[in-house]
Amino acid sequence: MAAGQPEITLAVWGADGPAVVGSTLSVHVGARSRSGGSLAGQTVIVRGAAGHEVGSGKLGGNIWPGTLALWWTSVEVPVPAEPGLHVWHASVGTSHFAFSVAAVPAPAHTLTVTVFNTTNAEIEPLPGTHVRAGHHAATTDESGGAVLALPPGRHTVEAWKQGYGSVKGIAVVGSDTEISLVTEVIADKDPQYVREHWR
Amino acid sequence: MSSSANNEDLSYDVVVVGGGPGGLIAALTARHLGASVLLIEQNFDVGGRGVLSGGGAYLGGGTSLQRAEGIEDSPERLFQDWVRADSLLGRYNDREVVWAYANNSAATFEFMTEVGNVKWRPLGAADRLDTVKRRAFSLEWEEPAGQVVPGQFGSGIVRPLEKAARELGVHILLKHRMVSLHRDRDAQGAKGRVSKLAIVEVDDYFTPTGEVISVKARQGVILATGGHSGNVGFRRMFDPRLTEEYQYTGQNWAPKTADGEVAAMAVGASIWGFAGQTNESDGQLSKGLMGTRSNYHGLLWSVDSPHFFREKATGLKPSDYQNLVLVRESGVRFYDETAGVRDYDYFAAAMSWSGDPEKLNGGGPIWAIFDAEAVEREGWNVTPPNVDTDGFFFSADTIEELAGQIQMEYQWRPMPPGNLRATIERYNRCVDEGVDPDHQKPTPRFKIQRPPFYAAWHTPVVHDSYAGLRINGSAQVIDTEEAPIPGLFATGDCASGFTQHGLGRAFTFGYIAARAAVSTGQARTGSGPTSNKDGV
Repeated sequence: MAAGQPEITLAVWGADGPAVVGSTLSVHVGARSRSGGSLAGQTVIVRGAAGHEVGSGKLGGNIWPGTLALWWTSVEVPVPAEPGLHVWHASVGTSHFAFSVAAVPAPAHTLTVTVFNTTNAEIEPLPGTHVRAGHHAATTDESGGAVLALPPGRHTVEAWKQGYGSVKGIAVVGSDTEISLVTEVIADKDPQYVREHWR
Repeated sequence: MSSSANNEDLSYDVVVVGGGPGGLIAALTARHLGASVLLIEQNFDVGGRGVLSGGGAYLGGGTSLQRAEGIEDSPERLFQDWVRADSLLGRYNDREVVWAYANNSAATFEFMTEVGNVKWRPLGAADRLDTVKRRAFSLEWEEPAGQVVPGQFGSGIVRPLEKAARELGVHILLKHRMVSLHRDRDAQGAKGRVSKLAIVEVDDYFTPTGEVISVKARQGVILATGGHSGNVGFRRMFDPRLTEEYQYTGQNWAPKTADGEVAAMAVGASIWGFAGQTNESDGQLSKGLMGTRSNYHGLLWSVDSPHFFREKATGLKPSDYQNLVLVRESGVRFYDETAGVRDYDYFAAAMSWSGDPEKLNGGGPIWAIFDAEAVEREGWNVTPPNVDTDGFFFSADTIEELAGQIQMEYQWRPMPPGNLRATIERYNRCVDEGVDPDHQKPTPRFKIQRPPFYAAWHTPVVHDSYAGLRINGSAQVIDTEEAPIPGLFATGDCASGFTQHGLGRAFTFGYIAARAAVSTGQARTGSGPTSNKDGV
């Protein structure tokens, strides 16, 4: 263990956003002691940005699968009514770890984004493309499609995949809506890529 | 052949140092011309980096393969393509070298095909500076034992040459490396020809184990030693940033220690082509493989390779850099992780000053940090032999514990756990927001949150050598007074003047060197073809 490492260190997971305003977020909080000894029964406190306690729990008697000595519990955290980014701190004793989530209005419609690869002047669905509209994100499936649950309004949609150019589009969502975007392989600075991607 | 021979022991017409592509074709060519030939290779097998490669060689100017595909080409067009002033790949090339390459490229191809029995696939698309299809790709060698890295077609370009060379009578001395070159002096002390060299037997890790043996070379010594990428002092002549932490391609199979350059410089050779090494135009550095020491992105070692005992791990190859962040030795992000494999602005950021007055050059290790969810998305197996847990891969239950785990020879100071925790907390907020104000990573997508957590070696890796020994159009090594050194030739990555990635220039100048060595040697001695029996 390096100098400067606290006696207890934490992990927080399950803070997957966006979360609907006013809902409840269930996160996992795990703690590990420097020695690897049991921390079962120790209190976990979650505080908001202003320092007020919003949730708590006690570490259970089992370690998280795949870890050597991470004792964990679940904590329910109320999501504020105000949209936007919210940050909390989980703590065990004097150790802490910050986590966050974006709060959004309840979605009303779905936006289906289909991404096509037009490299080599062909049009093929592009799976594995990350699609984002503000706080909302999804990844395209084998058909090149991704579904975002969005509130009504005008949304800027961005699509990106490793090795391909980033592309943006505008979607006006007043009902369930579909749009398509096209992208293509970007020429890496490795000249070798010409051989690998272009026919 | 044993190294137990006497110390004034071996004598050949031509001695080739290095059993990679340039050395193999040089040995085959010289033997085909009737010379007795000894090829020295420090590894337990020949092939060099060529056997690890994709098997693609820029060989054109009007080859039979080009004609069969209806491609019109000429030496003039080949020359003009590779000296283009509007490209960093052509601008700094030595035109005498490229001229010789252009005028011998097709002949080299035909020799490899007819005498070397190399079998070719259809031509690849024109790339780099080629304006017509030229790059010839071999088929993969059919025998698994000769592949070294299955799927890398380079086995099909060097194994036929090795087979032909052996059948024709080239003597191949494995597990021996060159120690020095000897250049004659006349009675007045004037420098003469390179007439012999000293070699020594080495073990599987290239450490000398035996007595030094002297080998006489009556017609010439051809250096094909592979370049300088692994010699820290040498490579830093061209780029002071490249301190000890930067590993290099194929380093455990075919060390590039600048042994050819250093030995030749000791007998007066000139170094050349510095701009070709420093123009950041092609394969000088790469990113894309992690969790293993020799982390060149284009090479995944097979656990079945007879060489794997040195390599220890295959490494992990990210398909999507949304699955990780890259941090410096300090635990702080420094660039958009999605940068391409040859992004020299990324490398510049990775190698920028660490902030430590005790380490002014080199940027220190770069670590990929990711979590259990990333492992699932990528389908990685994060246990040996996929990762090298002896200093190049770490795991921990928490982010801060992970920082403390990172202890290895190049991590010269501890990574502050609080730094790494703050980095991950901030990055996860970027994912929530969908924007990365720090480094403009596009659409930050996945948090790093679910334990366990991992740190994988992702430091830039050094690749091609373009600067090296100055040669002329006959592949003769040139001294610092701009005169050829009699009896000394060079090809491949230890030679310079030509910023061309890969095998084409190594083959072409190996072919040129052997022809020049034999013809000038025979003219000097008045001898004809020599039986290889003389060489024993």
